Amino acid sequence: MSWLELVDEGGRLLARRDARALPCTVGRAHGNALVTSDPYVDPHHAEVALDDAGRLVVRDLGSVNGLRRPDDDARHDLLALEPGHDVLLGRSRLRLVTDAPAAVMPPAPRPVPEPAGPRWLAATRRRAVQLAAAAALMAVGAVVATIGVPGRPAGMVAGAAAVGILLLVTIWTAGWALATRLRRGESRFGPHFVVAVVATLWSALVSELPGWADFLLPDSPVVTALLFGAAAASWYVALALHLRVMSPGGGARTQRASFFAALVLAGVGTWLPAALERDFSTVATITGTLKPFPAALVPARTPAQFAESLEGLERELLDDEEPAATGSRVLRRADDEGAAPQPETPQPEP
Amino acid sequence: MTSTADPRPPRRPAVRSRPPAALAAAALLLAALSARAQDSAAAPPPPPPADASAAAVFQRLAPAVVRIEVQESGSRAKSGVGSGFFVSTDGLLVTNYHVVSRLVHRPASHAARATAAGGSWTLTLLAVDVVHDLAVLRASGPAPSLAIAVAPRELAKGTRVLALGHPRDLGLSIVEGTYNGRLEHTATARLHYTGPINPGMSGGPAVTDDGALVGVNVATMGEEVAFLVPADAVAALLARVPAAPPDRAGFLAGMTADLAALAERTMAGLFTPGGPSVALDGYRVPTAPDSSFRCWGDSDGDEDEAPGVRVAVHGCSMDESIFLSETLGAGLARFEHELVRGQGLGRLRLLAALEGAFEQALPFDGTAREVTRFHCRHANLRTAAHTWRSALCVRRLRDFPGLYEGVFRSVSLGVYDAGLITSLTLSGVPFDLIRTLTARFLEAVGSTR
Repeated sequence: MSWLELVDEGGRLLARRDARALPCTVGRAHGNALVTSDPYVDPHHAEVALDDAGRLVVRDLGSVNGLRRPDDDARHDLLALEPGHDVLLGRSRLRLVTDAPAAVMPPAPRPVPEPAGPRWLAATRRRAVQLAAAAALMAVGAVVATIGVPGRPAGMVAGAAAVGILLLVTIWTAGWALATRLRRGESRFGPHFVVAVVATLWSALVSELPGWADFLLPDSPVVTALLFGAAAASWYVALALHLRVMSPGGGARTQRASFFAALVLAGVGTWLPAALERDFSTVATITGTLKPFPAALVPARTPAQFAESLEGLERELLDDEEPAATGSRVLRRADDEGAAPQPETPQPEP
Repeated sequence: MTSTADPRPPRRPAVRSRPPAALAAAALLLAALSARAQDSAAAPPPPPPADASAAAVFQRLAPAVVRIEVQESGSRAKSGVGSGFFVSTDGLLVTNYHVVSRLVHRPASHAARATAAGGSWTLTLLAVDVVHDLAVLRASGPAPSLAIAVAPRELAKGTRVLALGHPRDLGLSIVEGTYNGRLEHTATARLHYTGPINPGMSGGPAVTDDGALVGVNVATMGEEVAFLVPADAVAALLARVPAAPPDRAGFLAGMTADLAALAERTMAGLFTPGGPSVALDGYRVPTAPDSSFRCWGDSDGDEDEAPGVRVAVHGCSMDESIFLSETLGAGLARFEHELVRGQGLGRLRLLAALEGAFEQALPFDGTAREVTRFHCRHANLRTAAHTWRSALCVRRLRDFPGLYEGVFRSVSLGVYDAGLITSLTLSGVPFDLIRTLTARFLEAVGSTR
């Protein structure tokens, strides 16, 4: 006697059915032969049937997350089901068991209870996490804004900053939620919101690094490297987590995609402003980061040593040749070649 | 003081943005003209006989004073009009460099003509004194039989001086004014003239009753406060007029050498140890090293009890702006100290305020063909009194090989109740002078604690 069994991530049996009663549908909807509450399983996810050769196969019914083998991220539309070769649907596992213990009766399809405590408690806990994230974010935004704008009523500045940053993160979250709804049929706003908050706080933290590097080691290549690294890390954290929420079990492919997207975004953010700065301008842009740090411990040179080191600057200025051809270039050429204007014949007044 | 309506003084004093002489150095050059004004130039109306001797001087000198027009040769369009005068009967003519600067910078596309009651001449540029804003040209063809004699002599303050020229291109005019001595606050020689000098009179002569040259009209501040280039600078330039005119590069090389020499002469001694200084809260900052600098100061005051940033400023500038081209000037040296105090602010907020005050986008003049963009270096520097965060941004004046323009700006670190931001701007100077003064400037800032 063989059975089709659906088990959750932890190996707990969710549903079971006689393997001879075919076709056997699997999904979240109650009309299925095997029912699971796994959110990563579609309402009508897959069906088990016999193929032309008489083998037992699992066929994808157009689900979002498809079918996979436990040891492999590749997605399949059709997989053979044999004892020992299980098939993953979302986070649930479908397996074929041949010699079932007599004590276990085929249970009726039923929704699985929440893992811990009553449903309302879990929901409350989720809400609490989201509210805590929002509060932390608003607090950080308020504090940072209060430092940055002296001379204005601190309470107003802090309040405006807190609301502003919450608004921004909410808009960011809404974008991801919309994308998720289009792809999976549900928004998952809450998890996206938590990810957005975590990513924002994280990037606020790592973006401190380049500032410190600029403060302690001005003009060092370390600053640019850190600038790029911090931006890439922030983008990666944000993208990878959001994509994970959007399609759980996306696996290595999603990770790779997030990684490269993060590199590109960070590269654009780091080098595009520098490239734009190379455009001609008559403005001298003075920059310098200040940090709360004992002045005596700041690595420093004497002004004389600094002046000594300016040969490179002089060379750089001498190498700064005229910008590429523009309208005035032609005019300039003509002037370069010409000497004083040629005297004309005098024209006495009549 | 004209107005006391505003209870709080502005954070930055209005006068410090430009030294007075710079206000109108180029303003005398009349660029835009009406067709009517052009007609009247050919036949100057008789001046009102305000004084018999002024009328006599006018009658005598009018043939030697010309209207100079610079034309863009392709379009025959006027690019500027000024005045000038013959200094010899063999056709040498003097005017301001700023009237004919296009003949130096864009010789192939520009030509100059002089017109007077007695004739019309094509002009060839022979020599330039960029520092005093003078040019010598040769007129083609027969010159008038009379020239204005250049024989410098000392005058008493109050001596009557008559200025001739083409104000607003309205025809040759003579105005009456008073000689008021040499300016004390300039690195280059200038005479103070009280009289109605107006745009278009640039390059015209200012003479005594007996027709001897006192100076050349060069700039006005309005309200009859005007400036002349002294006759001795004219004599010096005439003494070094070459036989043949140099080419563009030759002119620019000569001007560069003059500017470099001026920079060395006026600035090489700046910020040497023991120089004059003033106290600014806990700091002792350098102030006017000599009379060629003019200083100003201002403070937000403490009368306003609201928490926030208080700024006190002390700045000095050379009272000078040298005309290089229509889009570029050289202001030599300027420095400014800005004391930033926090009232009721914590350390972090004051630090943020200091950073905000230090980081600046400072606009300069010039076009892409005249200057490079700014190239910057950043460093933490330590002097006997303080530790600093500094930025030095420099650009090269392309047309004046060897001359640069730069700003060296620093903010004191690790002082939490009051930070000092101090800036030194050098304009039209050799790179070595920028290096020398960069090395000295911060060492000149001490502490009073």
